[in-house]
Amino acid sequence: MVSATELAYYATHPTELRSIIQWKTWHNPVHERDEKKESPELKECFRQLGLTSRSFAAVIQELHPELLVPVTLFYLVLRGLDTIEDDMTIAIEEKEPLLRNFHEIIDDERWTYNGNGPHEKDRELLVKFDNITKEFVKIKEPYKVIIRDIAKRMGNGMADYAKNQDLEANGVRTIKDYELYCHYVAGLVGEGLTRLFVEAKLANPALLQRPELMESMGQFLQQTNIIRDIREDHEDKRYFWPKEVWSKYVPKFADLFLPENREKALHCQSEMILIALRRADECLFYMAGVKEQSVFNFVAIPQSMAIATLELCFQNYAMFERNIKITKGSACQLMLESTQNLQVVCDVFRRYARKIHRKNSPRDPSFLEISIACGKIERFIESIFPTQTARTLPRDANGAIARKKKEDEETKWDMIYIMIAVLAVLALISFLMIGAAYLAGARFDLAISALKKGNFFPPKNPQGVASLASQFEGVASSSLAAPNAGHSEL
Amino acid sequence: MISRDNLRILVTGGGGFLGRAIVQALLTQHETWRISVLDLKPPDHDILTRLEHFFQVDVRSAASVNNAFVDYIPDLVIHTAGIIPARQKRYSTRKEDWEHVRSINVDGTRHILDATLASGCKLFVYTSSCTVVIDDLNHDYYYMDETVPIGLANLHYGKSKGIAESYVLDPRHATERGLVACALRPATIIGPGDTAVMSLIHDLIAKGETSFIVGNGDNIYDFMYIDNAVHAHLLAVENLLTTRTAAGEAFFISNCEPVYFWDVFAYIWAQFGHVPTFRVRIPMGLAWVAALVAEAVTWVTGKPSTLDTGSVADGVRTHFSNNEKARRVLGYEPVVGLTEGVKLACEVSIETYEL
Repeated sequence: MVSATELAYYATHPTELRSIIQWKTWHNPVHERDEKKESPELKECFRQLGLTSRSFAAVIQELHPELLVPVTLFYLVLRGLDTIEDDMTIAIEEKEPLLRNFHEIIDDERWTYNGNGPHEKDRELLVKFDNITKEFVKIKEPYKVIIRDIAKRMGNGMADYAKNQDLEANGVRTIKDYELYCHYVAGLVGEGLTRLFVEAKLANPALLQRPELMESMGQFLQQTNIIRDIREDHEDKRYFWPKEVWSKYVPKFADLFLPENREKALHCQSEMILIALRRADECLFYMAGVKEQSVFNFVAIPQSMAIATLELCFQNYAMFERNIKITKGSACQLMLESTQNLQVVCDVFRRYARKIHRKNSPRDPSFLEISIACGKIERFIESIFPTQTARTLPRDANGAIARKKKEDEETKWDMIYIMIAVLAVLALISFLMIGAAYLAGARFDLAISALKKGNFFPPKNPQGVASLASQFEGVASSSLAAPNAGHSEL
Repeated sequence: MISRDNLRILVTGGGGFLGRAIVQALLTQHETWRISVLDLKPPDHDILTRLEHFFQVDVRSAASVNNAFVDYIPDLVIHTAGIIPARQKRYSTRKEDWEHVRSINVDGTRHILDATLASGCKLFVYTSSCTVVIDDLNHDYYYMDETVPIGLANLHYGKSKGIAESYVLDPRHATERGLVACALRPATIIGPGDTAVMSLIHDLIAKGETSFIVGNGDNIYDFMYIDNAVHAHLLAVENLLTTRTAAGEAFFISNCEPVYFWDVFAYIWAQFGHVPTFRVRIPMGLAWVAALVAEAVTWVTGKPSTLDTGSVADGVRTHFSNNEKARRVLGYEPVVGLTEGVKLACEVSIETYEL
């Protein structure tokens, strides 16, 4: 339901409201699922997708038919891993082999799992996991190989973290550890998806030669979530912010939330945002390698949301007090902009880079580094979509200007010819119609006289027509009579 | 092939901000090389004693330049000598000012290059400047590379450096006299001991002008820490001594960290312990009119102000370079990051300015 505060918000932010309406009205999926051809198991997979993912369900379901099922299953397999990893009620002795062997489990068409705690929100996914495995065996072998490989590496990474007592007790220590964690939960997803895209021939194979690009795609999203969810994770006693960063500002992690440390918390937040922001240009670079529109939308929407979220968090203390997220209006605008082309997405990145730059404060220890990170985004955009000025046009700019002038001249004459042709056709049609009316006995004399008297509108009833006719008949006949009279005098 | 062990290198302007740093780097990194300096004033004593020669020469005089080369044939010349018109002089349109700049930067370069070739030396590294392009304050230059034409700069400095660069890289010198030369175009250099940029920015604190941003504040600019400029010069020397792939070429060099122009100011002020309580963005048009008024006041009273139409234009322009060519040909990669560089520059400057 729409709340009163929401109403008030959109009443004062009409552009956001406009974006919501535009998105709802005009967005056409690039591809749509064909539900008639889907097996009951696959339907169940899509239902699970909708239940487990708020943000990805829609974009996945609009994917190119070639990748629709593989990516859906890839997502659900990783979600399955996540559901086991996250559940603290599963003993480590049981959890570790499950995580490490998950890449084999997915080939077992009957496998289901009932061991999640009753409060695990995604427990149904594993209870009915056979729906997913039944569909998994049906997809093309190359896709299976990729999904198994990523599931294996992610499962092992998660198992290592789950066994790590030190991490349990102290949280992530260094920035390197933090990025390694993000690699296991997101960087690998980026790699898997990229391999799926390339396998389906929907992305440039060169993306596989630059692994740092797909790594950045995952890191950027994951780090943004970790930054934004600080409050929630703290309440759940999960610590992802590396000690190497927060220890510069406060002696104990929990001190970040004390009101007297407000400024220190904001400085710490800036440094975390800086680490993520440095990846943004590589994300744009990656998106330049995507060939197909639905795949582009799929990768671009989360990235745009991420940079907008970073901007929302930056210098915003509310992040330490409660969950914050971008407004629905902004989200719709971002989706509109992320479903077009790279240049529009670049404009989004530049817009948010400048917003971050404007909020940046010289009191912040990361001040100049953040400014440089924003500059890096702007520089990258300039490298692929250069701003042309009179002085940076190619060397034969003068030739180009002369050509442009000639073209303009030609356009002008084209325009004139078209106008003449249009007028000639109008004249011909008018002549034919007036001629036809004249031959059919139309009384132009009466009409013109009426117009002269100021009667621009035809009379509303037959009597009016008659009286008008008689009124002018008289005039007309008398005027006709006069020359006759003169003639008779001769 | 020239013997690498006891190379003779002449650095003109070796007493200046950049020249001195280049001399120091050469002395430390190549102990067997014989370094000489040609300048108007002798360098610091500790450097002077380690030189092969010091030639006290005014580059404006062809005769006195030639005199230095009478009994001296260098293997390679690094020509850094020049004048950078500071403050109000930067935007001067007076003919006498132009003649002064031209005589040092253009005639001086011609004298040095001609004397170098006459002596038989063929290797020449010229310190040009990014201003050969950007001293054209009516235009923005986004991520400019070496394909952007020069010769359009209208401020004295960039104009003079452009003419001199074209003279040095004139292909006729290469074909007719065997010259192997390259030109480096550094972005605005900052560093410890720099008197031009840092002091200008620092002075704004005392004047109480730190709360104003001219334009929208989104314009981007390139800076360069001194060590990186020195590094690029040494790479250019190395290139001319070995592969010579840089011959006849000009290279933009910077810290490869383009950044919002006004943020660098704010960061430098913060290093001096000053953070403006508020900051206002003054639209370009309004600032320009204000500058015009200030100029009129200056003209009447004779007391110079910070604000003039030239610096207003400088403050709103986007000027940053693409250093790919230097990367590819010279192997240039900045060695000191911008943040660290600004900090280092400020540390020394605090002592200089706050006393």
